[in-house]
Amino acid sequence: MSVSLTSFLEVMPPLLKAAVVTVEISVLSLAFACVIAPPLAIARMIGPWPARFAVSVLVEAVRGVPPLVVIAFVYFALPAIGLTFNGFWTGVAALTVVGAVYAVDIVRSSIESLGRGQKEAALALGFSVWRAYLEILFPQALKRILPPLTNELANVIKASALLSVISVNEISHVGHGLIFETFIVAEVIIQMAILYLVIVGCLSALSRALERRLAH
Amino acid sequence: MRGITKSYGAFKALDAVDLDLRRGEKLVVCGPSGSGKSTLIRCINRLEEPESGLVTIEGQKVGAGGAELIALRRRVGMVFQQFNLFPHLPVIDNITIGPRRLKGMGRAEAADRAIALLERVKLADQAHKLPSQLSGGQQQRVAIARALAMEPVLMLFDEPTSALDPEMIKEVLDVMLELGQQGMSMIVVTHEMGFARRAADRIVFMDKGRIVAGAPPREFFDNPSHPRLRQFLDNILGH
Repeated sequence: MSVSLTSFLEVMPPLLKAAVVTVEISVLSLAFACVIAPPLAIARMIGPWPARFAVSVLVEAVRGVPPLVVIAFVYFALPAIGLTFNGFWTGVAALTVVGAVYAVDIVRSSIESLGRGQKEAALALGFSVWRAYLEILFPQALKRILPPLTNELANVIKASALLSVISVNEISHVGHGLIFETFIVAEVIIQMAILYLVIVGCLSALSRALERRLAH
Repeated sequence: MRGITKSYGAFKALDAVDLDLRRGEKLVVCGPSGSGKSTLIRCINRLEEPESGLVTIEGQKVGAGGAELIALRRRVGMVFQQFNLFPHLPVIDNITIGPRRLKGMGRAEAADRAIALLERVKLADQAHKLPSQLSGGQQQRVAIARALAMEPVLMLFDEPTSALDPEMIKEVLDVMLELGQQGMSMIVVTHEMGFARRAADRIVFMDKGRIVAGAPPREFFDNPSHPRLRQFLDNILGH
């Protein structure tokens, strides 16, 4: 099988359009995940017991099933209780939950690794426990959180390929469609791979830039 | 404080301890390790929760939690053995974070006051370094400045020089001595008997979770009242 430039260019416009969708879903879900993970992690550490219990159940449940099941749950099961999402927002919601759940444990273990002296210093100054965690401990833990978090978030981006099962027009879905419509295979697959590499590469670059800023 | 009791399992760290401090008084707490010295001062701002007993500061009861405890902690400074500076923040931000976040003080005012405090602990030239770039003695002086930034009515020192090289102990003790001379109420847990003799208004000796002796320095050292204290002084002053 040969790879032709003409075919490569032919499938490029629809794949680029699909890449925009993958990027949109990834950026939104990663952003939401990063916003909700720290409070969830702190709730799991110091919240009242119902909050600790609820977060633990969520974390264990979501971590225990494949992301595909989470997507199917949001798409097919939530409408039963009146929550209906289209494909795009199903992707955002499901990947937000998946990303947040993995981030919760990373945030928690990073904060716990700081040692109790930091917490005591913040409390002794007069921070409430919640504010000590959010304003003193979490910013300090960021440096330890970033590398493992980047790994997990890269997995979340790649999990967006699973949205093809509910016909979201992201890279994988569009790519498969193109293969069956045009019988151009290698050019599509190679381009899909390059697009994912670029997207995940951007995340890694962003994370490294952040790490450098946090270096101390 | 009245009847403060704290146990860890079967071990009684504090056994119904009573202690009073006058405003402006400098109290040194000494005793063998495990005698409950650190636990005692950590019960004052409730970093340890005593099982029973009552702590009152300026007539106000220290509650078990909530807004009152937080308000009280803002008026009681604490200095730790391991400094516990916030490593991700430059020295000046370590000092301003309390006044800015907890008292709503403006950036410029907080910075001006932080510089003044750093001058007091003789570190004004280090304001923009990170804690990790300072020596232990310097870090501990920053920690003192950080606590003073909240304008406390009482300062607690939990073995402030125990983690320091001998040469750095003096620079920290000098700052504490000066603070005492300026009228700050202080409770200092320390093994530095030279400091105790010079700076303390009163020294108490703890053993097995109880205060077994307490006296002004001269009487404490020259005329020890309790056999366990005599043995302790012999051991630490004996060479």
